[in-house]
Amino acid sequence: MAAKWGVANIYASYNNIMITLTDITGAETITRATGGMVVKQAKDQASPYAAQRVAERVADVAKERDFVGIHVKVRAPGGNKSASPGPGAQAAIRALARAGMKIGRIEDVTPVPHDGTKKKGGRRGRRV
Amino acid sequence: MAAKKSKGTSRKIKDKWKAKEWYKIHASRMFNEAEIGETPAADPATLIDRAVEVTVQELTGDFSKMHIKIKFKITSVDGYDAKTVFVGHSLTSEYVRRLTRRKKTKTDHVVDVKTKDGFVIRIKPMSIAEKRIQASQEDAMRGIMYDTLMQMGVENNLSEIIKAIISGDMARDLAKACRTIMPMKRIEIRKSEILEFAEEVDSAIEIPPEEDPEAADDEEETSEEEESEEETSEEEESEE
Repeated sequence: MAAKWGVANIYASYNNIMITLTDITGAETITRATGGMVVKQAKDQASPYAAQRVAERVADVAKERDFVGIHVKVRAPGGNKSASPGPGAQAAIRALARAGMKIGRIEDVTPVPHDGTKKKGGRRGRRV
Repeated sequence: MAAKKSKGTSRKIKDKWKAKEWYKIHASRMFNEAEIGETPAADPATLIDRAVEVTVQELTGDFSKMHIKIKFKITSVDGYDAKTVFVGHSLTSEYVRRLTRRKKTKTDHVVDVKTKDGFVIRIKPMSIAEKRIQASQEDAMRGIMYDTLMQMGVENNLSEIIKAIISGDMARDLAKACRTIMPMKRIEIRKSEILEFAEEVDSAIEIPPEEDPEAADDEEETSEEEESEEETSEEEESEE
């Protein structure tokens, strides 16, 4: 593989989205963008629109640095928190592809406990 | 305002970025030192201990093995070429999740094997039964797996063991050995990691690539792109 590949580590929760672009070893961070950098209101940080803007930002830097392709590692909060990625994950991947980056493998790297502590919220759940 | 801020930070990074050079990462000797990818670094010394994960499909072009990831760690740098060693493998989490079903017992095993050439490798097989099986049967199976894997370690070098893991021969042998307890639906080597290294005496494994790797790469990328879109849409559905 002569072309340069990177890894987009996408952390998508229900409150925010964060994309960290690294090289394939994960040791060198190339750029990082979060939902708060592209929207004004905190409640919009996790929206698909914010995810799209974040991904575009990351793709811009990636292209500037001569990356042709990106492997994607998607991650939800995990552990004893939500195991499914937030609304932005899919939009971010799509936006990366739309921005002209090749998408390699897509992988779910949500941390899965081999049993640990109790999820917060108590016995009767969160009472809204 | 946000745009202004980002410009300031990006300029600072860019200077650092220009100082960095790209180093090629090669697979370990048992994989014919195929090129895996490139990594930037300002100083070659910082390259040591960086780890890369690649699928077997990328190394050999074998499409049936795209669920196996191999992990390499950089040990030495020679000019712009970084040499690596094999430090373990794992199956992709979605593959394991696909195999796991309700009312079918999935048993995890962990065995530390010492190989003929002095490496200690932790092998984690996973067996899936046709139905729910009893704990005593699981225990008996653990015993059998331990014995078979230890025997394999006595007879084989590390490279032969890795080859057996990747090709599926080890899983087949384990399934054959476990047949006396219960015929298993599926046995996979879920994960392996090297605990102790011996001196370098590994010989090259011959896994002939099916096609010209570069030509195959191009095709893969286009097909994968389509696939990825499908996958993500599927994920979304399942969430709902």
